[in-house]
Amino acid sequence: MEGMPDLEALIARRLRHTAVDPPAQVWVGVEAALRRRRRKAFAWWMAATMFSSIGIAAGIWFFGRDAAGSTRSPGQDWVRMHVPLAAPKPSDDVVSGASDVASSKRQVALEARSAAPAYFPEQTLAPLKGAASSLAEESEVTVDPSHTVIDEEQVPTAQFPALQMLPVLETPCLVLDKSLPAVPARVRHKPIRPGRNTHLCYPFKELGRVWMLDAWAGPTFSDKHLEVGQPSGNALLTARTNSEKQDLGFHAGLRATVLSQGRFMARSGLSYEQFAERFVQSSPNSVELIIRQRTEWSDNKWITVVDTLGLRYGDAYTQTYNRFGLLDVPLEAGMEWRGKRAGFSVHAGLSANLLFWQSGRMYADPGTPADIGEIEPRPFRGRVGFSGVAALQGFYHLDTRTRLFVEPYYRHIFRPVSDPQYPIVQRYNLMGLRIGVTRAFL
Amino acid sequence: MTERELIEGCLRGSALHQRALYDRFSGKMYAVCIRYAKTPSDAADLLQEGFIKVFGKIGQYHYQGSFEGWIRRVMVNTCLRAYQRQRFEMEQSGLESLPDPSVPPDAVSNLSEVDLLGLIAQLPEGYRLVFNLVAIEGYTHAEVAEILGIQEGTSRSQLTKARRWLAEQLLLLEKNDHPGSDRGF
Repeated sequence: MEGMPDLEALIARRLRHTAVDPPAQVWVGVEAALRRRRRKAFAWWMAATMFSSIGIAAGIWFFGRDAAGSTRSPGQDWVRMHVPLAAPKPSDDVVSGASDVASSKRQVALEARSAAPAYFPEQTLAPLKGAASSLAEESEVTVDPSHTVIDEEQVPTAQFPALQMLPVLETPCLVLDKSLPAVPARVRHKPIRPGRNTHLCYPFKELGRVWMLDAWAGPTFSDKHLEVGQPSGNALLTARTNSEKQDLGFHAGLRATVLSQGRFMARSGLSYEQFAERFVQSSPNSVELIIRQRTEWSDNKWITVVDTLGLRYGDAYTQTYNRFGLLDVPLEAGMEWRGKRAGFSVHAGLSANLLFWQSGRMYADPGTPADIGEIEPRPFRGRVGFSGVAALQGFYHLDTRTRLFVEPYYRHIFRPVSDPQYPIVQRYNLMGLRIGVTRAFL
Repeated sequence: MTERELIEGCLRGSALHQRALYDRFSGKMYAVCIRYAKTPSDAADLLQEGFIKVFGKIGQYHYQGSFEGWIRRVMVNTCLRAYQRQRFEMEQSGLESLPDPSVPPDAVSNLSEVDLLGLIAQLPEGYRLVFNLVAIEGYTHAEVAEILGIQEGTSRSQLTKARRWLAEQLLLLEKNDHPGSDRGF
């Protein structure tokens, strides 16, 4: 028995460093697998690029659909009034389930079209609310104000005689919610087990230098400051201040980052930032007519009846969306701190900006609106110069190379964006939220 | 090319560095796989799977400890996982009741490394896994028990059986090499 451990040691000593040439096809298989992996990575990046492009396109479409030139005409403004009513009656629509699933309940919503919310004072709304209550009684439903309406289905109003009590509503405007959204079941995140999957970041510190690529999109909001540049600009300043309101924009971009010594970063890239404003034109000579059009069955035929509901004098009724597209090339420096899966970074720097696209309307002089591009001297210069940027990023590693991040940022454009001859000096600050993905290349 | 250059090249996805790393370590790792696999073809499959894992997880190597040791651990884990999938069963051959034969000191040194690998490859599967892990890789019985999901006593018993089986085979080989000699067993 004493000789036995020696036998093991002897065999171990002989075999521990033994090398045997493997068959050639092993490398062929390894190489093929690595090639598949590269193709997969390429497909992943294609998908990310497509996602960004779709985001940009959707942003342009969404924010650009009311862009300059598409002026709202009188009567297009409307207000939707929802009177939430929920039915506890055991019908086929009612879904009962676990405690974390909301019951499906009927809701009735009344939608009224009008010129503006102000056209429905409380005394006008009172009959509507009364009608809704009657409607609730007729259809054996009870009021449940805790739910919102998301899914609507038009219902023949003939089923609800209480509709006769809705004197100012269009008949097709009664909508019935067939179902309510179920509250999603609680999502359980798989915990990171102690001792396993702990190296979810690359060993950035040991590697010396790491390259990363970011792709992102997100909302942008602009903060505008107008000042009088020339004495003649006082009236224009008042007109512009009263007629222009900030609106939500969007931005998207790509950025490369080099991380040194695991912590210090330098980054640059290209992003597109579109900020938006609304130009609301008031005209003292305007008359806004509020009408209602409905269809009635009369003398064995359908007839269209137009009722005049009200008049409005000299108030705002024209609204134009102004859009400004800014190209941004930043050069930033920052620092990064990481935990297991998550971390954060701060970075700041300078960026060169080019305002390469603008559309919309504004007052060229008090009382005279014009297309922005036609106004001389120009209210917006093409080369808006440099801006200072600062951002705070929080990130979460999906795997060793991939991060998701959320990054609030602030940009201050140093010089006024207006032409020096323009009578108003206008300065812009932009702020927003970048939501994106980072891929590390090591 | 230094080891660090090799690693950093592989992290960048350089095909040249990946090939160089494969060339440097594939021989030793193939020998590891042969010890765990049933057949040479299984060993080649395990080597391939192991290197794919090495290239995929190379970012998890933190330059702490030997790189070769890290690769070897990936290979051993790959081999173990393959056999855990097959739910190997510990062989019960009754060898534990036999007395331990004594082996002449040159019985091992007379064999080439390939012959030794061949001998180990003939070990019943359960013995082979425990023998490889304990005798060659240096795992403790407690670690082997945890890795293979068996009792610590089972691991000890499997090693004893493997040892006896090997000793018997070595004696047999010795006897065949020297038919005229009488070593008293």
